[in-house]
Amino acid sequence: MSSLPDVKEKWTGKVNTVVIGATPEEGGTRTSTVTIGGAETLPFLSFEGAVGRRPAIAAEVWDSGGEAWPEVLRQAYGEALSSPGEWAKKAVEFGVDLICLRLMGAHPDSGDRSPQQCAQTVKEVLAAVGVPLIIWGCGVDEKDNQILPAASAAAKGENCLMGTAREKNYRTIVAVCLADKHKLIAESPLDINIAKQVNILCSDAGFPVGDIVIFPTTGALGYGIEYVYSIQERGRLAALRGDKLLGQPVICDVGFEAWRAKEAKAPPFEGVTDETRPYWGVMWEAATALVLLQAGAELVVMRHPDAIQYVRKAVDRFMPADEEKS
Amino acid sequence: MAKSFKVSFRPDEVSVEVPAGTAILAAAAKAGVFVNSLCGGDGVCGRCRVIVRQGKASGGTTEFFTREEIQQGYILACQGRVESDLVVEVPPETRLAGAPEHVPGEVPFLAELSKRLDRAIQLSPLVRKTYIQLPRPSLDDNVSDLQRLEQALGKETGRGDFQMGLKVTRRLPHLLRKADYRVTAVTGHRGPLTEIIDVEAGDTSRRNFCIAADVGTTTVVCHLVDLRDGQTLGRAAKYNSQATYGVDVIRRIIHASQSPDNENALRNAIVGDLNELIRELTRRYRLGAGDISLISAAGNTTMVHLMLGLPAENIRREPYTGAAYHLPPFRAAEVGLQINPRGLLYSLPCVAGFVGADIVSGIFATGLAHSDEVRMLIDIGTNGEIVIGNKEFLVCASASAGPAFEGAECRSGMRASRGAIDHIRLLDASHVLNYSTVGSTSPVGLCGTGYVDLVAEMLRVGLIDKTGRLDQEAAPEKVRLAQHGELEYVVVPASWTGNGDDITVTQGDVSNILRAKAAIYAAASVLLKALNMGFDDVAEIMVAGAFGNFLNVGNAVFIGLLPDVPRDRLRFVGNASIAGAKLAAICSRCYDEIFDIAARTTYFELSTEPTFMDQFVSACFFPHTNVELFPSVLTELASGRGG
Repeated sequence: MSSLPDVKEKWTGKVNTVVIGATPEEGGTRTSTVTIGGAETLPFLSFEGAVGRRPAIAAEVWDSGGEAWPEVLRQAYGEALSSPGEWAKKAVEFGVDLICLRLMGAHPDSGDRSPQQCAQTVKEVLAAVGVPLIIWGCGVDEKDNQILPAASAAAKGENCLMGTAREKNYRTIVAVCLADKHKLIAESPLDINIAKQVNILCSDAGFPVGDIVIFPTTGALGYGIEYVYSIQERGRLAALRGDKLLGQPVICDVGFEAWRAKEAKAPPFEGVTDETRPYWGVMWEAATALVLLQAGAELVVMRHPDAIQYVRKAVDRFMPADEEKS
Repeated sequence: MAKSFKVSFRPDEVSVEVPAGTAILAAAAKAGVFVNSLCGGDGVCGRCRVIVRQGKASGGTTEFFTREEIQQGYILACQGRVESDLVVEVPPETRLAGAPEHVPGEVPFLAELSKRLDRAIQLSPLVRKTYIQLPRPSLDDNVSDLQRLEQALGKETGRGDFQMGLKVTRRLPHLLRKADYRVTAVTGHRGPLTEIIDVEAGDTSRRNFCIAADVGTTTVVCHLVDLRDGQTLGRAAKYNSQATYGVDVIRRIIHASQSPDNENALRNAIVGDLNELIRELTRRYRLGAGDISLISAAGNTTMVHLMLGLPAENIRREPYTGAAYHLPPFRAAEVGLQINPRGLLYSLPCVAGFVGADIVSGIFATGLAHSDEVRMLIDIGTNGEIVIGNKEFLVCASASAGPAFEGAECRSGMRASRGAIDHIRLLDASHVLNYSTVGSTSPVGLCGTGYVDLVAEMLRVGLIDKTGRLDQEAAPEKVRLAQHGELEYVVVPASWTGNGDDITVTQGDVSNILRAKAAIYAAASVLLKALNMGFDDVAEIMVAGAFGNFLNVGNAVFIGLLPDVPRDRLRFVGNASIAGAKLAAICSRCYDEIFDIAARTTYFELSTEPTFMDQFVSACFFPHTNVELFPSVLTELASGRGG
């Protein structure tokens, strides 16, 4: 038998590691921290090189408005949806590594909650759970520039991951993350050039690129996921080829996008029965997450406990415990 | 019959009769009064401001004016309609801003070019005058008059294959006898043939001059050349009068394609400009129009079309085909050019709809086509044209950069005429260190090189970030909210300017400059990639175009307009187009070579190239998203200044 050719790729670059959360010894109050990144090759290709840390899963929690989530999700979380602290606790029971607190209620069109109220919610969630926290603004520039400083101050010392810095609005969040020592999510609209540009802008504003996590914008299964995949993959290939300004771990907003799909909320297909209906959303979310993990995501923000379980199991199969690089 | 009214323009004091309802802009064009307009009459640029002093006009009062201005009678000339006899004043800001201050001169290519061509440029003009004394006919020698002339001319010039038109042949017998067989033959180069254009009595060979012309979208330049020795006697330039119909070629093509009258108006405008420059030069050197027997013209494809009256509308439509790129010599008079009625117009060849004779001419004059090493020519204008090649291959591409580098479509933008800030340095975000203006007068605006300096400086002192976004906090007293909710930076306050207006740069202006530089850099990158090359593989990058030698090369690299290569590999070549036009005129072999170059230059279409958009977005960042391509800029930024 002739020997097989060596098909291993050799890369010159690698993905940074980013630590989220701070224990009491590190100046925070978290009971655990999460480290992501570290890959020196493409996802799960352990035969080629170090695959880095195991991808982390965060559960999405809203400060308000969770009651309007699709029914399948409401059933999973029950009453807890109306209290961010309870909601976060429940999510931790489902086995997530972090909580992603989205300050949706601050959006001028859905509650317009004040910076003080947002800070209060941050404190409530920090008190309720011990896992690290991701804090995500409402997406409206002016409002984010008011609430994120308050939210950041409320979590000072906790080494949260805050987001998002965008091409046209990054100065405020960079300043507060620097001041309160948080990590930063840099968002770009599915554009590898802009992804790099936002990193440069944040770096020019004084933020260490090693503390950035890239949010390249997520799309769900059936809603442009091929494009999302290729953008993520191009970014990762650039990082592995040595582009240090793209060598950051990637976060994907999976739950938010997957549960916007009509197939997830109310499958418009023949043959869907009451019995099978709940699985559509779960599978839609899990499939979206798995695809994006293959494209190099290090951190996925998810919603449904069953979807979280599926993804967790799949990752364990792709990445046995002994392959994880510490 | 529609009623017609008389419109008088001040301060030109010219009047014109137009039908009721005519736009004032159209009336001005008819009267030959220049009214500034960037959009060519669409009512969107707000530049064609005029004041109605007497009479009634309808429309034209728009949001471009303040309440006071409306009370004073300001309207937009393109929107205002003639409703009675009118007296219209064209205020200074709407008049043509002077003449070009820098008339492009010669570029000292000759020595280098001869070296590359491996021969001296020999004087062999496209149109020659040869004085000959013919033997008188006798019974022993009774060949025809034409044959007699051809034989003598052949002996004198070493050429054969002559051709003569009917008109001259009819006059020949009488002329020869009247001049006692001492005549001057005027011959024109037509490939393998030589046309006997005219025969003049006696010896007129001392008076043989030509015009070399660069027919640009913005500026028209003419050189008067003595064909006896190939020396340039004088130069003249003026702004292209077609500007009234739109600042860029696309708007002019649209205007021309709307009606035969419009097409004629554009043709008359450019032919009129050329005639004006020819008159100026002949007057200055005491020549008659008849002494000019040749015009050699290089223009972009659209200008060549509009000048010759060729339909140009297909140039702007996919797949961007012009009517003709390689044209034979024409009788100049047929085109309307006022030189010797028998004189010839040699229009140099184009490559594609957006790579014209100006570029081909530049490829020759810079020696690019005869270089051993690979060189690049970048022509920076409204369209950025890129040529890469050597003696073995030539490829070119064109990218639409927009008119920002020509000083148009920016709030305080102007051409490089009197009062334009052409260089500027900032001390910090709030203070200008120094600036210079064209003509050393009070500043009234910014021209292309001024914008390049300004944007680089704003980046250095932190007024803009690498996306070009203005940071109000960097200089709260100088950055303010302008019209349409846009931020603008006050460069020179009204009290110091020559026209009482603030000179400002808006957020939109910075974006215009960003996109313009990105288009040019991306075009060069894509073309190099297509050849599997990088900037490092290019021995020399030659920069031609609007900036001439006035561009600050450090700043051009700092903003990412030019690649970050060792500075000795960047060279300004000025107006290479007119240099080529002149070489063609004085050396028929050069003229033939220019046609060969046009034929062997491969055009690379960027609009269908999938990587262009990606490269463009990547270049839409100061200096570039891949900052590592600009190591000298990184070093400079890291060493810090201002803040």
